[in-house]
Formats: sequence, structure tokens, C-alpha cells
Amino acid sequence: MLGLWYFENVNRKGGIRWLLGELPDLVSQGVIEPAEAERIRSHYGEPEARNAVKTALVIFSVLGALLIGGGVILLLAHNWDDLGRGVRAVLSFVPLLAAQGLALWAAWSGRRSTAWREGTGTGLMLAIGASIALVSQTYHIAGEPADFLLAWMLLGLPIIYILDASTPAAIFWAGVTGWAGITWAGGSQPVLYAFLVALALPHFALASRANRYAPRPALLGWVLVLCLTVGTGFCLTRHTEELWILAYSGLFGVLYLAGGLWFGDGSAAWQSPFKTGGALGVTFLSWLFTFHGVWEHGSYWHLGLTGPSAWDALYLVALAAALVGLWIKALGRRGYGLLLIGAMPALASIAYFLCLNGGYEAVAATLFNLYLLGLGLVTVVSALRNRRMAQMNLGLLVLSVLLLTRFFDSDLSFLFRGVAFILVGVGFLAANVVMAKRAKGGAS
Amino acid sequence: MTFERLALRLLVFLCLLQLAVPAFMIARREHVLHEGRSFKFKTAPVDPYDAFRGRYVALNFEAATVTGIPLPSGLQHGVRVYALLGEDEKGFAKVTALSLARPSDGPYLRARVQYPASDRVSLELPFDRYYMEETKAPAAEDAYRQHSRSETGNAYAIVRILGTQAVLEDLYVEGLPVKEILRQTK
Repeated sequence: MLGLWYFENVNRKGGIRWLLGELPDLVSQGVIEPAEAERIRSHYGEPEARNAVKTALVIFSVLGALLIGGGVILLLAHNWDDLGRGVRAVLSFVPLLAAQGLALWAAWSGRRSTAWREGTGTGLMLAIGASIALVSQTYHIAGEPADFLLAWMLLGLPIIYILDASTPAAIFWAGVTGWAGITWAGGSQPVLYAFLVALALPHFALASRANRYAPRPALLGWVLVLCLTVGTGFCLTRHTEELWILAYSGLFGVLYLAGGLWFGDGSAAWQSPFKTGGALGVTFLSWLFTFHGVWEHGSYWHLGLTGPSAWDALYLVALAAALVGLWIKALGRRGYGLLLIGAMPALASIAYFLCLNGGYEAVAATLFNLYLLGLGLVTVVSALRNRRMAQMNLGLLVLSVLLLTRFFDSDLSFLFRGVAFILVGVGFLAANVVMAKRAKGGAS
Repeated sequence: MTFERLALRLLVFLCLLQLAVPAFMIARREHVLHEGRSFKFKTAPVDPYDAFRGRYVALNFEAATVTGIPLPSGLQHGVRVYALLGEDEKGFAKVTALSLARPSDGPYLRARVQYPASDRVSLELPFDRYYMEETKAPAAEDAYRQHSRSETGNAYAIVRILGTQAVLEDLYVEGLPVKEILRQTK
């Protein structure tokens, strides 16, 4: 249903652009009168221009709030010693009251445009931090940045929902990820981190309800992908660091599959943050996994001081369960293309357990060399079939990076490498020429 | 009720909640500063930078290293302990006993174990920094460093303690508040 709406919307937009582009030809060929063309242009043309102004307003209000909020925090950090304790205690409320006043006034007077909501929400979010920081400074409260950050984020969380503002949601995700970094000590922290991240997820669902490929949900999606990528690292306890192989493969696999299944129809790659981010992650990891070095420490892994804690295990089991669910879903929808990248975590797990007792590093690395080779080839071939120039070059890029790295870390002669480089380059050009010719053939 | 009106009411409620947090933080500490018992904690130095809260003088207290008293078993890094406080012959605060359970009678500090060893233990005290104006903090640090290192030196912090709360009131160097010293050396 949503997908249908989206397609209609996108087709409509594309259709309008096409129609406006056709107008000069139609007029010159005498199909329509210039006045009619002008009427059509003014009928469709204006909303686009108004949209651009709206977008600019949102960007400037958010930037303005971020700059002012940040400036206030820096001014307070100067720490005005000459003011007494009492004055400073009262002053602690000033940034908060100002931001609250603005947000309340905007809401009360019916200023509910995106620019107002995002701007006042961002200002309020930052003002909370400024106020708590000023109190901490005045009373010399010991450095407990974790508690400080958590209190700040939780006090700001409702802003996201009440004002329906996405910048505070982005700040929230960044903040709780920062909190995970500070409390990087293991224990139940990964579960708590996942819970905190989930607190802002309903907002993402609401924001993507109308059009999940609009700039707002897309940008918010990228923030989430980045935060989860960084946060996952903070969730691995120090003595079980090698689990990153499983944790990151699983994370990117889940992101890619979920993105492909529910958010995969964006007309540009950046509009599908989960799919694009997941695919980038999987490809980059696969490339890392082609190196022997990654697997060589496998024989020490099982010596890990205490092994994975119950919480680590829970995190990994949850990831695995999500993956299996997504695989079944993808198979059900006959999304075999998705599984090519989506199945990488399974391959990584096999390699991981092979290397657990040492001796299979070469097998693991070879497995990933073959996988990346296959991934590149399939990408290029399917792009040739679907006539997608950008996708083809991406596939070629993967293939060439793979070839080049293998040539650099093996003991082949300069002569051999030189020839290989030239061949790869020729392949690039030839594929592009073929594609360009096909595109021409299709157009005529 | 329309969504807008509901949102407005929720926003008012949220604003009150947001104001309540710093208000509560202030009230609790003012209460301790007025009612709490005053202790002198002898000190030692560093100067990091906290992007959120500006510059401060990082403090290290002699009382944070507990030795010469019987230590309870089960002291691991990060464990919360209660340190009963007394005064030494010079009038500086010192830890007279450590316990894992909250003592029935004060004054005591709530702290976390940093480095446990067989005969001694380092504690992370709930006050470890003294905030100053960014231009003054380095000078204060210098004055503090000179006086806290020498044997005869006399640098200490006044801390007010009430119940489980401890609030750092002022930093003294040679019997004078550090801000006063800076004013004199200008």
C-alpha cells in the first residue's frame, strides 16, 4: 500500500519534470500555445520552488539552533568566577527557560511547521545539557559524564515525540552511543544500549510513514546506521574483542536485509540508508576478511580470559535470530538477490568457527576471496543486464580492489602485476563502452 | 482534545520536568553546604580539559589511598564501598574504616574502589575536580601544584558531608581560598 503510494508519488514527480521539459518542444511544434505552456508551468512549477524554500528554512533553523546551543554551552564552559554561587545557580536555568519559552510559544501560537519544530526542538535538546553542565560546574560535581549524558538524553527524549522533530532524535542516538562509549565495560550494557536506541525508533517509523525515502527519514536512517556501527564496537567487552567478526557481520547483514526488504526502493542509494549502509559494511568487511592476518589470531581466541559473557552471547543470539528471520522473509519474497549480500554473516560465522582452533586461516581467507569475486561478478553481470552504469562501475570497483590487494600482498613480479593492472583497466573501459553502446541502442 | 492541545500540555509538563532536574541538583547540594559537616581533605595535581564543563583543577586526595586499617574482603575494581571518616592529628580527613554495607552512623563517604591491593586500596572519591574560569585554571593549577607537593605545603579542599552526599565547597592553598591567592599574585 505504502509502496504503491510511493511509486505513484515518485512517478508523478518524474512525470511533472518530464512534462515541463517537453513544453518548449510542444510550443515550437505548434502543439500547444505559449500561453498554455505558461499556464501548465505555473500550475506545476510553483510547488517545487516553494519546497526548496521550505527545505532551506528547515536547514537554517536547525543549523541556527545547533550553533546558538553550542555557543551557549561554550560560553558557560568559560566559567564566570566573578559571579557568586547563587547567581550562577539561578543562571543555570536561563538557557533552559529561554529554549522552553521559544518552544512553548511556537507550539502555542500554532507555529507547527517543520522549521519551527526542528529548530525549537534542537535548541531545547541542547539547553538541557547546558543547564545540567552549569549546575555540575557551579557545585564542582565529580566527573560522571556517563550519568550526565544519560540524564540529558532521557530528559530530551520526549521532545522527539511531542514536537515530532528528527534532529533531537539524531542527537539522542548520538548521545546514547556516546554513553555506551563511556560505559564501555561490558556487563548488561549492550542490552541497555539496544533498549535506549529502540526508544527513538517509533519516531523513525512515524517520520517515514508518509514517504520513507524523503530526506528526513533517509538522513535519520543514516544517523542510526552510523550510531549502530560505532555503538556495536562499544558493546563488545574488552576481553572478547574478536567477537567483532561476528557482531559486525551480523549487524551489517541485518541492516542490509531489513533495508532491502522494507526500505529498498529509494530512487537513489542515499535514500535507502539501511540497504546502502549494510551493503557497504558487508563489502568492506568481506574485503578485510580476505587478509590472512584477520584470521591468524584464531588459535588464541578460545584463550580469551573468560570467554563471551552471557550478555555478549545474548546480543549475538539476537542478531542471529534476526538474520534467520530475515533470510526466511527474503526467500519467501523470492528476493534471492538480497541473499547474496545478506548471507555473508553465515559465511563469516563458518570461517570464524573454522579458525577457532587455528590451522584454517588460509581456508577462511580463500573463502572470502571467492565470495568477493562472486559478489563483484554478479553485480557487474546484473548491472549489464539491467543497464545500470553506476552499479556496474561499483561492481568493477569491488573486483579491481580485490585484484589489486591480492597483487600487492603476494610475491608476483612487477612485470606480471603491470600486465594485470593494464588488463583490469582495459576491462573497465571495455565494460563502459559496451554499456554506453547498449544505452544508445536502447534509446534509439 | 486535539493533538495540538495535547502536545502543548505534554510540552508544558516536560518543561517542568526538565526544570526540576537542575532545581533538584541545586537544592540537594545547597542543603549539604548549609547543614553538612565540614572536612579538610589534603590534596595532589593534574589538568585535563572537559569540553562540556570548561576548565577545572583536577584533584587527588591523600585520603583516597586507604592503608593501615583492616580491609574487608571482596574489594574489586568498581565495587561501591562506604568509607567512615575521622580526622588525623593535623585535622585532615582520613578514612578510619571501610565497609561494603552502609554504616548506621556517619560521617561517611560513598566511593568506588579503583585499585585494590592486599594491604591498601585506592578509592575514587565523589569529588575530584574544582572548576574555575578557563583563563584562571592553569594559574590556579600552578599555585596548587607548588603547595601540594612540598612537605610543609598546605593545600586542601573543604568538603561538606551530609548523609550520602558530599559537596566540595572550596579549594585552599596556604590557608587561603585559591581564588584569593590568584587575586594576590595578579
